[in-house]
Amino acid sequence: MIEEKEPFEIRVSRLGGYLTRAYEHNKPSILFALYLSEFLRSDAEKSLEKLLKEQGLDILNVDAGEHKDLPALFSSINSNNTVFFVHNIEKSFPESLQYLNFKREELIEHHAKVVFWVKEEELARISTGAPDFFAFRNRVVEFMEVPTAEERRPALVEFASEIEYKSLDEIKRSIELKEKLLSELSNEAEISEYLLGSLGVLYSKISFYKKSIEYGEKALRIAQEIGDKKGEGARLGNLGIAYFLQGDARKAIEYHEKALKIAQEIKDRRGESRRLGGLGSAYTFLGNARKAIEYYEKALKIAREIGDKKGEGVWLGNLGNAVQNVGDTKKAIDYYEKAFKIAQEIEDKENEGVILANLGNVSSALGDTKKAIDYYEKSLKIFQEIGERKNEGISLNNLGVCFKNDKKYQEALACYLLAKDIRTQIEDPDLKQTEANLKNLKEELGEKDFEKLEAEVAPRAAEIVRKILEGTSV
Amino acid sequence: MPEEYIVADNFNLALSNFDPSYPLPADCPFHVEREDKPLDRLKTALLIEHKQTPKYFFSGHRGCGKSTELNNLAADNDINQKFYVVKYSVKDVCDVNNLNYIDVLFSIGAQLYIQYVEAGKELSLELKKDLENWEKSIEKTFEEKTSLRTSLGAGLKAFFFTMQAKIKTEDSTRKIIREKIEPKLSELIDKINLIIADIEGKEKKKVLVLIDDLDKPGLDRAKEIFYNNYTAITQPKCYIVYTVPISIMFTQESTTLRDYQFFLPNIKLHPKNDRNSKHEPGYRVMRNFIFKRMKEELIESDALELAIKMGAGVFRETARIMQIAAYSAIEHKRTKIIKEDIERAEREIRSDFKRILRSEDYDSLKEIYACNEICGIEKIGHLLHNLSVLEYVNYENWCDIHPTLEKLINP
Repeated sequence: MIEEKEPFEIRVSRLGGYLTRAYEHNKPSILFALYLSEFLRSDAEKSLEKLLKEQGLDILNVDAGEHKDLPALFSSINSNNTVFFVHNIEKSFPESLQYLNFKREELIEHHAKVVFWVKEEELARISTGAPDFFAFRNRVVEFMEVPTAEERRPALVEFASEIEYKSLDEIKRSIELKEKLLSELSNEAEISEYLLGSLGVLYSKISFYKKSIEYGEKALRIAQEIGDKKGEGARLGNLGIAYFLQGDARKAIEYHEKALKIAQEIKDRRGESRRLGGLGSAYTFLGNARKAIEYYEKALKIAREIGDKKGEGVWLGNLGNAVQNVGDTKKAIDYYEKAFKIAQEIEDKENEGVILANLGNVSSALGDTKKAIDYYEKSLKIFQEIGERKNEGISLNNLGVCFKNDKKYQEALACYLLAKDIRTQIEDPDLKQTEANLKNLKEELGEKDFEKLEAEVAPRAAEIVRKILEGTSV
Repeated sequence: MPEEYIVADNFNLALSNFDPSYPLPADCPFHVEREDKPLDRLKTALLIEHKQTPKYFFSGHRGCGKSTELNNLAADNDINQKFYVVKYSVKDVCDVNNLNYIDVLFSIGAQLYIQYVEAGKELSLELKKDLENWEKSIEKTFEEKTSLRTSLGAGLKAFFFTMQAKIKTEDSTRKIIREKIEPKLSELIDKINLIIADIEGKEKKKVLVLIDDLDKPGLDRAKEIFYNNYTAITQPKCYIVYTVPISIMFTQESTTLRDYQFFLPNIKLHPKNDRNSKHEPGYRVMRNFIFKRMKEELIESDALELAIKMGAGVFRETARIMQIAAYSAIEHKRTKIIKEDIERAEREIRSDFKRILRSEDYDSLKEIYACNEICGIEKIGHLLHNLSVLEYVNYENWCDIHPTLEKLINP
């Protein structure tokens, strides 16, 4: 490979140089970034993106599989400071080759600035299948190193372990990339463990619990094999959460207890706090509020000691739930408000949504349907935004109940139907709840009227809910 | 397109001037005269009298200046004295993924009509009536077969525009148009010839149609158009220059086109079988090509000679080498491009080739490297297509491997 000896940063800055120069001089720029490993691609993309943003350029990611006529796409949305990153070109073959070859001048006329992120076979296909287009290239820059090169390892580990994402799209992209990396690096036990563990958490976030558990168990096995105690504790804990979310509280307790033991053994305070909290949740689920409160308070104490803001917010919120369960609404609201403040402060969207939904529950319990609806709507928006399907189902279901109590049957039915869809898709045990709610509604309306309403609402349930959230009349 | 053609006195401007993606417009100051004026042969052929209007097939290596030369031909004084010139690119009027000879023929008629009318001129009333009747007969088919309507009664120009747009973008309509026109091909050709006759009568000139970018479809599609439907596409009674893919000239069927083919050769840089000596006129052209774009003082002389050698006598490839080298000089904060910068470009281009060459290709390349002969066209058609083998002309045709590949073949 020709650029072997050149540092990574130089090659990234060469791409950046071409693009910013094209931007400054109002020129097109057709670049190819050739990569071997998805990890390195992601790394190069991030560095390049940072560099370009500093120069006032915007990145637009394009999935070629969805846009085969790339020249048309570039022409239709190109603005001077847009740089297109084209991915997945393989999925657009062979049509995209013809489009590129024939309409290559459109890229030039519109001063398109494009980086095609390609693998070796893809680049070969382009140079033979769209030779006239390829002749217009400015540069091919190679990122062909093996990703486990020691100097990149810390970044790789960091990426493999990363589980914090702000949106559903980010999560999906990360899952896709990690799955690819997993197959690339299957002989690297440690990295595989991190990837499997992280994938387990991410699948759980998008409510794929079966997959989450499958990956988590694999990660757990590797951690035990290679003697990674901290990893073992984390995997056990995450499995506990996944089992809990799947509705198996007893199994959740079993895993959390094992994880707690390891955390205490290796003095992992943060892990200890999480496991205690997890146990709290499991006992709440089993109806043992007193035990739950006990665990949550321990978890909260540690979180505060070690300055774990996120944990603090979550345990405060959960304490709210637990005290609400024993009938202390005033105390519950107090906890929720504290938790909400923290969630906003650290931009923990997920917990913000959870707290809002819990405030909805309290308002509903106090008979203030209007306020409850408002809280549920706010939480629903957040869950949709971050792709929390399970919680989305909860908010929709609860919102439906409020609407029903308000005799707004059309809205109620739309919420129930969407909740049912989601809960069916993610195999949520709470599906039973929504089914019961639908049955209640049917009884209240009478079979005939219900069927009439259902025929009307079912085809546009999503639209109705969208309008509710937009505040426009249904 | 560089808005101003200024000789670069810095690398930043040089990067622009050496952009590989710009064909030059006619009369551009960056244009270099080729030593052998290859287009003169085509020009001469067009200017002499013919009993039957000839059709020429124009090809050349990718990046050797076809579009540039075609632009020049369309703007040439002598040509414009004898001809009413209509030039267009198929990519503007046809669908790139689905091109057949009917589309090409229709585009000739449509472009003749549209360009003539857009120049503010008018065709005879009689012809317009005739075309309107034809238009109606086609539109009737549309009403029968689909609910689609062309803009009925909106005039012929609109008709041609709409039809062209449909051919370009609408799969189903294109199919209907082809189905409708194919059995009555003579009718379409007849209408094209009526338009030609009318323009020739009014302008007192012959009609010359120059069609660019017909070399872009793949070889199979090109064969279908130019061989299997040779009779049809040579029917219009005007002079036509079709661009065709270079690889089509190296197929067995190519004898059909032989008498009328014009090949725009690469610039010869050394005599056959003598890689170490320089063909000075070729180097002069390429030096000129470089110095029209960048000042001489920005490059060391040994770097310049190497850049020309590695550019293989292909303009675009030379431009690419200079662009990479200029960037390399910027990266290294140099005031002059040195040999090392050219060597970097050489390595990059070699890497691009390495990715696409198959193991059996190396044998062909070795053979050509040894004898400079075109040996077995079936083996090297695709190599000519991807520029790893280049053809040169003096008294006879010969070829050589791309100079960046020498280190692969003969390390």
